[in-house]
Amino acid sequence: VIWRVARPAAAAVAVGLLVLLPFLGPQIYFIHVLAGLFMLVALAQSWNLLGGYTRYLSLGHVTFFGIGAYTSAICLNDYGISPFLTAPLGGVIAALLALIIGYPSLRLRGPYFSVATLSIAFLAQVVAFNSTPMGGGYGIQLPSLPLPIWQTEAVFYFVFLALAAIVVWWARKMERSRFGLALLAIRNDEDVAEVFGVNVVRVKLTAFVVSAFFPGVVGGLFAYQISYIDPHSAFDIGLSIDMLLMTMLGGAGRWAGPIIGATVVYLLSQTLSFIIPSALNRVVFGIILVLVVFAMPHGIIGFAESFWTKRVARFRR
Amino acid sequence: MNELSFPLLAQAVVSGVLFGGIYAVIALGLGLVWGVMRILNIGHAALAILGAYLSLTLLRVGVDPLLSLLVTIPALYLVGVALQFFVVESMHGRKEAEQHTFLILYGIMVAIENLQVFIWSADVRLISVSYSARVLNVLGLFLPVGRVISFVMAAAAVAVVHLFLNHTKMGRAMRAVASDRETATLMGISVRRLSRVAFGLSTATAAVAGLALGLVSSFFPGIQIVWISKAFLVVILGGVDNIIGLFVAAVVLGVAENVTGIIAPAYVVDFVAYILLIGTLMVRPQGLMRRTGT
Repeated sequence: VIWRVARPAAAAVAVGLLVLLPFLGPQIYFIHVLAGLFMLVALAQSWNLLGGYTRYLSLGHVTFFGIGAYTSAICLNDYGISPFLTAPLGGVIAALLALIIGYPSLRLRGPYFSVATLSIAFLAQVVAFNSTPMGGGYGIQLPSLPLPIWQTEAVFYFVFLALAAIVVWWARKMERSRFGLALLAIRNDEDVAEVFGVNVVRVKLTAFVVSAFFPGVVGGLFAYQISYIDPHSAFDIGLSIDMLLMTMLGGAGRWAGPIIGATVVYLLSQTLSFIIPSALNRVVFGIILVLVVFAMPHGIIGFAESFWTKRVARFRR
Repeated sequence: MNELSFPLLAQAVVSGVLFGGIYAVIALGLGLVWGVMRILNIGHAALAILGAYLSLTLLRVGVDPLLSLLVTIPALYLVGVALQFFVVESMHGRKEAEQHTFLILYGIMVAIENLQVFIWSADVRLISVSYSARVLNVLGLFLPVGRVISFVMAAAAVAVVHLFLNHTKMGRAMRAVASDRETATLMGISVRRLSRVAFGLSTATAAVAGLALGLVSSFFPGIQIVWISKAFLVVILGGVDNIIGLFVAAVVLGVAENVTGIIAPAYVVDFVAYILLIGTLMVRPQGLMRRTGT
């Protein structure tokens, strides 16, 4: 009973603190770092919506991020519309693409789906490199927000905080819905799920489309934040890896997983860059992924839970 | 756009065939592990590039690339055996073994690729030896010696594996495991030992593949992903049951790319390859999608 009151209260306090934070006069770097973290939480959570709940491991989610980035960049430069308005448009375009490629590619199982999504990300990069409206290899330069730097950082802090909150809220709500149960059924055994009346194709496709929509929105705002994009940064395969790694580390198929995973990986990458040469950063991430799958395939959450139940069981005996 | 004259076309076809050998040997390694263990080793091309870097380093201390194979083949064989022993076997009995193995191999690929950046930097390299730049003129076609050597090496590796699979007891056992794992076990084949050899053999061919590609095509750590996609395409087109089919598919891809290359800019070639891969995956995945008894 206490939990019913305490949990929402704790969540409200946490969000309230995060909203108040920029007004407490922290350093600008701190705000910037946190905004980056919220962006990664939103991205990892989007990946989780499909990859975590159904185990269709997409290696091409950066495609949707890049599409969003280019959509808002082109809309701002050619039509003068603010990315804050066009970011959802980027999300819609990303979702449409997911609808088109999702239908055939979600029939593929296991590694085939992963390879197909990976190739789509490369295809998108090749297109961006050679398309004139997208600026080719030179990329696109965007005007930044006409605000003092401190306020600019604060604006993006709130935007990414809101986005992360929306995606997390969505995942949490989905996890407890019939739809979420259908996804878990697909993860456990797709054939059995189908026999038991789950419309497998539609459920998977919906999850894929939603999980593509949010990265599209995030990408559009990211482009505005850094005010320069090129095919390398917008379609960086490393970002796909990050989404997967963060979710797996925190706990795939759990709404809190990407929050924990993104925080750990992000803090780690921020501190690692002081300790070891940056080229080794990704080596460490690769090794972490290997170790996570070996030692705690259910992520930090799953590990903590099994640890907890073991302890409690022993205590009760 | 260039004019499509006959000598130019013939030259492109020949270059394509020579290049196709490399696709064949990379796809061969990928197909071996897929066929016997039903595992997609996404890090296979990263290992091939590792082989290329090892040969390059040995060349710098004065070892001829062809001799360097004496080092790189055993070294990568051991890597394959280790992957099977430490990764694949430890996943046995897990409910999501397939995904977990794939994720681990993916993590290893990321680590290897970036370790290469750290050790050898992201600069573009080529294994060049004095004789590889020489050009043979056969019937009016120009054949760079490096390309010929690379093709002969690749073709020899494919031939050796083909002979091994068809004419040795162990090779036949491997094919038996590939076609029906359970029955093979009942016939007294040690699947565990055989799988180690198969993975080792696969990565050993990556050493040959690495040298073959390093001799004719510039490489850097990140390019492995291009090679793995194309090898994957070849495996899908050619099938894993049949090495000759694999070789033909590889040569067809090489020729198709080189012929496209003379009438269209270079990026179109990559574009076509990716479209082909995605298209084949989505339209005709059945050949590979047959689920084995679970």
